[in-house]
Order: sequence, then structure tokens, then C-alpha cells
Amino acid sequence: MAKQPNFDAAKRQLDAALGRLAAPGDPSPYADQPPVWDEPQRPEWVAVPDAPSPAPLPVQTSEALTRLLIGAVVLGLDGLGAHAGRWERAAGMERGIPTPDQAGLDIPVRAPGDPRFRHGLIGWVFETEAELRPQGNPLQWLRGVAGHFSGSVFSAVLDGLPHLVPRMQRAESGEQETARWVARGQLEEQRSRAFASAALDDMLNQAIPYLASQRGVQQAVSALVRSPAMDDAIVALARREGVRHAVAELVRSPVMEDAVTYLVATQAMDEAINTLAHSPALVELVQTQSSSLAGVVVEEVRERAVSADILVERLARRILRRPPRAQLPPDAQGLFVSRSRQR
Amino acid sequence: MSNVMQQEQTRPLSPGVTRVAKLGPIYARYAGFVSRAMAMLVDLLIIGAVLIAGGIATDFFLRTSGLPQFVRFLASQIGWVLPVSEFFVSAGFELVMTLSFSYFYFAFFYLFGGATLGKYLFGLRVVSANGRRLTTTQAALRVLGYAVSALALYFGFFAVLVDDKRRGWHDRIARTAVVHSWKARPDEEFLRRVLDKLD
Repeated sequence: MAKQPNFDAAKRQLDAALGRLAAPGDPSPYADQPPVWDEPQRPEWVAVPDAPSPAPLPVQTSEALTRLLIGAVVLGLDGLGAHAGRWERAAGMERGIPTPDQAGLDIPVRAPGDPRFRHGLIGWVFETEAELRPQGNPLQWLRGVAGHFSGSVFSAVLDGLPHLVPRMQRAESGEQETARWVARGQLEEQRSRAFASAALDDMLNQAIPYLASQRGVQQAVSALVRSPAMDDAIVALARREGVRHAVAELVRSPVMEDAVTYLVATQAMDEAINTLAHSPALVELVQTQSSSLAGVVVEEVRERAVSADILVERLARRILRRPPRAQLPPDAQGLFVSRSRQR
Repeated sequence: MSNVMQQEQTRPLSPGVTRVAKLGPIYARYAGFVSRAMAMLVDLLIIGAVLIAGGIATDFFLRTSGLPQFVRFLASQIGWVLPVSEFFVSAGFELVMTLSFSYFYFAFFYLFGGATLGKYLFGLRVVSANGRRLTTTQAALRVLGYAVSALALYFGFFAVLVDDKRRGWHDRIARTAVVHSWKARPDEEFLRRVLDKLD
């Protein structure tokens, strides 16, 4: 409480100083003091505001969706093309054999499809998507969409009526447009394939943990795994030649070797092995199992030998025309209780 | 193996089973021909391995020690030292070593363990006819009896097949018997399968 007057005085001085700084016309309280450095020695650098970084372009959802769809279709076609030959061989189909209605006609064997058509189609899809993308004034967008479709319809009509418009002009404009579509299609096909591949991988990676964390999915998977149908399915799957071949190739593949090599070389594996090796329970289990296994083998060998004893004796006695033993192993008393011998 | 033996040593005995001092329980079932032959085969393999290793070691010793040269020098000086060729001397030496080692092997294990290594494996024990441990004389006689059984075209061994107590000639000579140290029982399934085929 005794320090209150000092505090009030300091507050008044601070308010006065702030008031002088705030007044633009007031002289600075430090105006009469010399500068701390000479003018020529003043450093040249000055703080400049940060340059505005280019704002990331917003992701066009419709373009990404189009790219995903096109990429998925392209990947699917790639897979189809890779397997189609094998399926045809499995179905006993042969290429180049004319159908009955083609027999006798000179129909040339056509080469595989021209990729220009595919590229043009892809390019057209992307240009259409760009045309139909909502942007700017909604009215202008609607007008653009209408013009696009009407233009397409109009082009289709013109194509159907070749005599109305000189063929040369239409051909030139069409070729230019087609070339543009093909060029863009070539580019977009590669982009879409990579985009779809990355998206599918990412979706799978995210979907598996998400599904695994769902209780309903866990129950369903548990019920499925325990069901007899799953046993039958696994047995049927394991019998398939393709699965065996795939497993064999996987085991022989360098990828598996690299994975195992990497796994063995990891410190986590060393720690795991050390932990297991020092586990008393595991050591006891291994020793018990080893000794019990050896005991089982020895017992089996002994039992087989005793069986062979009986068989060989039976055979020998039959050859020598002796009656078989009435009692194979004489009892203990017969051996040990022989009073005449003990005397 | 050791666990099995320990279990046999500590297992309470059933009626009619006698525990012989330091030999464990004897179930007093006379061991048959095949069990004994298999045990003998194991023993002969062990003896052969040891003799081969010993022969290699002896050969190394003779080649590096100069002993053969010394013996030849003596032979050149004294004609009666080597009255026969070197081959017969070597063969005789090996025969003597083989018989000596085999004799020692069987007698030692019969006397101190009641069974050789092969008989341990097949759960067999050599005991006196009265069920007691073998004496030194019995152990020595039994090993000598092997020679008797073998010299008569091995009939002494095949006598195990027809003797009521499954004794060979060497057992009769030394008054011994070979019994099981475990509750010998046949592999009934195997036995039934073979008997069905034979019948």
C-alpha cells in the first residue's frame, strides 16, 4: 500500500510519453540527441515484407473425379488386355480364323486399335469437363453448357448432312480439334493412370484400417472365417493351379527374399529373437518338447523291436515245428523268485 | 533319453517288479532276438567308429614318430623280431586291437552299467539268472561266450529264438539273462497288420 503513490506517478509519466509519441506534430523527445551512427554507416539492408507466396490452386473436384474415372478405366483396360490373351487361349480361341459368314470373303486382318482414337476420346472428355465446370457467373456457365451441347448437336447434324456445308472446311476444323483432343488425351491418359493408381492405393490403405476398426466388420469377418464355407473356399482355392503357381512365384521372387532379408536385418527382429531366446517359458517348452520327442521316438523304436521279436520267434518256431509260446514274457516271479538259486 | 531313464528310476514299481540296486527297475520280460540283435548292431557301429578313429590316430602317430623305421631296423639286426611279412603283423595288430577293445567295451558296460549303449537304447539289461547284477566273472564269461556262439555258425545267437527264456549260448555259459528295463509292449497295430499279411 505504501508504494501506491510511486505507481501512480510512473503511470502518469508513461501516459504522457505515449501521448507525445502518438501526436504526429510533436517533436520527438530524442530529437536533440545525436544519432547513434553516422549516416554513411547506416546498413543498406532493410526489412522488407515477405513476398507473397503463390497460393495453391484449388483442386478442381470435377477434374479430379474425371481423372479418377478415366484412370480407373484405363487401368482396367490395361489389366483386361494383359489377361485377355490368356483367357482366349484357355477358351481355345484362335486369332485370324474367319467366322462362317466371312468365309470366302477377302477381309483383311485389322491391326490392333489406333491409340489416337482413345487419346482423342480422353481429350474430348477432359475438354467437355472443362466446358461444363461451374465457374464464374452462373448464367454465363449455363449459356456455355447450352452452347456446348447445342454445338455438339449441331456438329452431329452437320456430320449427318454433308452436302450442306463444304466438306473441306469442316474437315480442317475437325482435324484441328481432333489433334487437340489427341494431344490432350495423350497427356491426360498418363496423368489419369498415375492419379488413379495412387488414389486406389491410398483408398485401400485407408479403407483397410478403417474397416478393421469397425466392430460390425470384425464380427462379420470373424463369422466368415469360422464358417465351414470359408474352409471349403480356402481348400478349393488352395487346389487351384494358379494359386499354387502364384504362391510358388511369390516364395521364389526376389521381393520376398528382400523382404525377409530386411526383416532379419532389422533391430526389432533381433530384439524379438533375444526376448524369445531369454524367455524361460519358451526355453522350457523347447527342452520339454525336444526331450519328449526323443522319448516318443525311442519308445516307438522299442515297440517295433518287441513286435519284431514276436514275429521272428513265431516264424522260427513254425519252421522248426515247435509250438508257439504260451506266454511270451515270463513274469517277474519266474526270474527272481528261484529259491533254489538263492540258496 | 536321460529324462526317460530318470522317470524309470523314480517311477513307483508295479507289483511283480523288482528294483535291482543301481540298475533300476527290472520288468523281467526276457528280451527277444530282434531287440538284442538291433542293440548289438548299434554296439558294433559304435565300436567300428571308435576303431576307425583310433586307427586314423594310430596311423598318424606311426607316420610321424618313425616307429616303423625303428622296428624295421631292429628286424634287420635281429631276424626273429619280424619272422612274417609286415602285412600279417599289421593285420594281426588290428585284430588284436579290435578284439581287445570289443571285449573291454562289452565287459565294462555289463559289469558297471548292466547294459551297453545299444542295449540302453533298446531298453535292455543284462542281469544274472537270479536277477542280480553281473559279477566280474559273469561279465567276462559272457563276452567270451560271444565267441562260442559265433564260432558255431552263430547258432548260439539264434538259440534265443527257441529258448523258453530267450537265452543264447553265451547266456547259458555265464548264467545270465537279458531282460527289458521298460514295460515292454509290442506295437499292436503294427503287429496286427503284419500278422494279417502273414496269415
